[in-house]
Amino acid sequence: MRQKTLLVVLIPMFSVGLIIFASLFTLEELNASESGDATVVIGTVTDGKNPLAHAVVKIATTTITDTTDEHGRFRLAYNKNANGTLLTAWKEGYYNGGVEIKEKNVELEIVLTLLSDKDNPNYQWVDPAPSFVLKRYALALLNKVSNCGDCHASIIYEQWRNNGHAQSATNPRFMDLYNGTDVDGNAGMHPGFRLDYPHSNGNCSNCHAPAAAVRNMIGVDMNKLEGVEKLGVSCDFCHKVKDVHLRENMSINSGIMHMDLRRPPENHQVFFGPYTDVPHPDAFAPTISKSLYCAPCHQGSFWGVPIYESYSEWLASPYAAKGITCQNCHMHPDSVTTNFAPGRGGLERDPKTIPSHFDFGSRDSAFLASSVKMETIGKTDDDSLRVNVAITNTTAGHHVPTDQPMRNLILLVRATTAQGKELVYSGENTIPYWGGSGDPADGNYEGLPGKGFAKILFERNPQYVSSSKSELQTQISPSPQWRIINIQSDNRIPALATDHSVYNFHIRTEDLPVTLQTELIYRRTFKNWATMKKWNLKDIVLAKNITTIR
Amino acid sequence: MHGVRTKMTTPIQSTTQSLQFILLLSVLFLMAGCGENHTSQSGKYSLTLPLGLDSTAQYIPADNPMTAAKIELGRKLFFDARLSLDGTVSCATCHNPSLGFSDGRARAMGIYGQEFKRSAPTLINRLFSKDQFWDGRVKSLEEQAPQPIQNELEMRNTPENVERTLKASGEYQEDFQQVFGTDVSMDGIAKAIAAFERTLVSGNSPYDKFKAGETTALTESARRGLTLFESDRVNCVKCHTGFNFTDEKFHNNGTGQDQPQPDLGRFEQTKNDSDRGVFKTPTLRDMSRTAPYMHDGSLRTLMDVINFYNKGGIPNQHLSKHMRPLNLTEEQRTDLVAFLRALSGTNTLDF
Repeated sequence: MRQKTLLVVLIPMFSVGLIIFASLFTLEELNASESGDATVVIGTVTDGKNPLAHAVVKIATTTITDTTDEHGRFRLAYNKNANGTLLTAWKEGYYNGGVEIKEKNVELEIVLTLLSDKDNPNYQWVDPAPSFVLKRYALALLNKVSNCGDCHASIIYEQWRNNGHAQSATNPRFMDLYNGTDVDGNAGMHPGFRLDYPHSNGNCSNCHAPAAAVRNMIGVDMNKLEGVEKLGVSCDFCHKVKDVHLRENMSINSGIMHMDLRRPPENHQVFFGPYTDVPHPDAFAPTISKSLYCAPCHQGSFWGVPIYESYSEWLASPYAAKGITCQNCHMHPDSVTTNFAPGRGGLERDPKTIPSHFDFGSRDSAFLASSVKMETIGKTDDDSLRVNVAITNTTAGHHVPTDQPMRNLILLVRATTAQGKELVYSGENTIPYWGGSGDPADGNYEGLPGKGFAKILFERNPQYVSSSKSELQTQISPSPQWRIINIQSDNRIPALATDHSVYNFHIRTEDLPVTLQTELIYRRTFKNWATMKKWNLKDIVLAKNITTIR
Repeated sequence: MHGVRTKMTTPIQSTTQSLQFILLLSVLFLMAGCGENHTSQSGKYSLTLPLGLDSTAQYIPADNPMTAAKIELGRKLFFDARLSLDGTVSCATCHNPSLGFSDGRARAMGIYGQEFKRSAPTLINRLFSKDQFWDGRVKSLEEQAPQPIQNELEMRNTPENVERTLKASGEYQEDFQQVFGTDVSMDGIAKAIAAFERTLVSGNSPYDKFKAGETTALTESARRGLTLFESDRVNCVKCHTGFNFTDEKFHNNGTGQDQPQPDLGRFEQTKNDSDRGVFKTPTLRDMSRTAPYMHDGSLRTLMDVINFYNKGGIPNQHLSKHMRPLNLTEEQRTDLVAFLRALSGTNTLDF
């Protein structure tokens, strides 16, 4: 029986990792049989009437698993003291199920409940924020669903609350771009979606306010969101996504359109997650740990032009082949959390199995800086200083920068004498116009020695404001992605690729020693956009090299 | 807008491309707004056509006479993206005045960035045509206008929703009362847009001036091109005939017929075998502004077009018998391109 099951398990296992996993499993069985508490648990997974084949059975929080045979039978060896007593099961299309192992050598039945195969549009979203103490206790007493933060407050809720997903519908810069306002709230400040499409709510909500977008796909005014809908990509929304099916890549098919959303029927609840061993109302969603899960909002075309490309960049990268997913880096376990619902039924787990919800991104400077490496080599040759800069995307599984095309990198190359005099630049690479024109002291680097990295959109043809006035749109360069645009250039650095560039300066013997400084900065938007919007965004230094040429 | 609608009298000199482009823009608005200069007390509107266009060839249905107020309403609707379901696509999205009332794309792109199977045809000189669309499936602009509004690849709207949206905006009731004496209606929307489109005329091109006796209006190359164009050997005028360079008929020149699942054009409407791969003869006026060419946008430049005809189109079972290799020299092909460029209108200054 054991052998047979192993064989069944092994046959579909192609990856080396899984085979190692399977051998670990037999080791555990061996350990269990050697110790005094070793027990074998056998039983059947059913839907209440009939046995369920191919269900995954697991001793909760462990790696001890079995898959039911065609009669729904399973057999697990485990160590009661070391492994706990919760036995769980899951099968595609069902909630997770679980029973306590109470007595030795008793046949157990795990009954799985079928998931609703329909989405319930009348479902009320669960509020992420912890509720007031009294209410929380009252809800707990009544065994009612309470807010997410009631059970996950100290860890997951806090992590989520400060991440980008929580701000997706209210981020002031996003709202400035949506409404065409500046930081002071002045109207008519480009770029602005509503300035170009005064009579459209746009499809921004498909990703930025998905809980509202599912209610009214084209009718959501981002200024009129209420309640949980205003909390962007909130806990309950993501954990209601059962699966992702990418549809043809066009602007209507953004965000929610790719998602198999399963809001439960009235008086039911379901949360999809990465575990098979958290019983009802949780359900394992295999896709939730895959990059595909992020693709609906991190891959998208507008007007036939690919705008957000993180997912396809990842697909084309070596990381995809290695199975290193978005979640592996952006939801990297914090390595200290051992229980994501302490005191609320949460089980102690290996911290490596608990994804964090920091969702690291462009707001996390340390995370960003860890993605690239810069090497600078300066060599003098007669009257010239030749500077070679190599920038490698060392750890990002997609281009750097990625996603929202306004993200950009700027490399600044400076060579100064001991007296603080800048060497005369004779090279060709200079920072493009979107590095900002004006005083370099204010971060305007256009024309300085260096380079810019970005995907630049441009309006091939003048368009008309989509209003009842025949009014040409104000040209904006680089163009915002909601316009009818083309990609003018894209020199972002793909995963594991290196960009080499050269900068030549005139140098005389009396200039020596020369301080050579290369600095790579990340900007969340183009400097000229930030100027139009009066956004005070700090440059994030990703790398800085200083060497002395003698 | 009102600023640029003022009557301009300065003649266009030979200027740089970009200046011409800017002038074109102003000019197109002038064209669109010309009605105001030709409105009598009664509100009756008479269109004064630029040099080269034949006023007797105008087609204006009896039930949709032109009035200044109607044209103005049509203009407003033409630029109003509320005609589309999500408020992002107006008529001008695909019929962009700055691009010869086309969109510069091989295939038109409508709501949600969906690509249409055919190129957006120019709206220039539709005043002289009954049959509309590449396949001529409707008999008037009044019948044409509601279709893109409802096509799911273009504006994806419904007449009910358009009426509801425009009424809700509060910006149209007065206009409709004034023009049609009714509330906002799809019928009125179509009529007003059609009336506006009939004002989009192009003439007074270098070619028209040349025909009118201004011998220097055409370059030597363009003159040689004209001779070839009209010659029995090359015989472009077989189809591109008359003052508007179209016979208003439908032909198979083979475009796209070598594709795996070719667009069968008029056949898809009529189901007549003789209509397989058959498409409308478009006007050649303002052609230099409406690239890329053909119903599928498969030809990028005017030279590509000449080369296409030079090799006799694309062979297929239903290829027009008038299509045949032309054996044109390089100079002859350059001359034909020069001639086609000379069909770009500068009429608007006369309005």
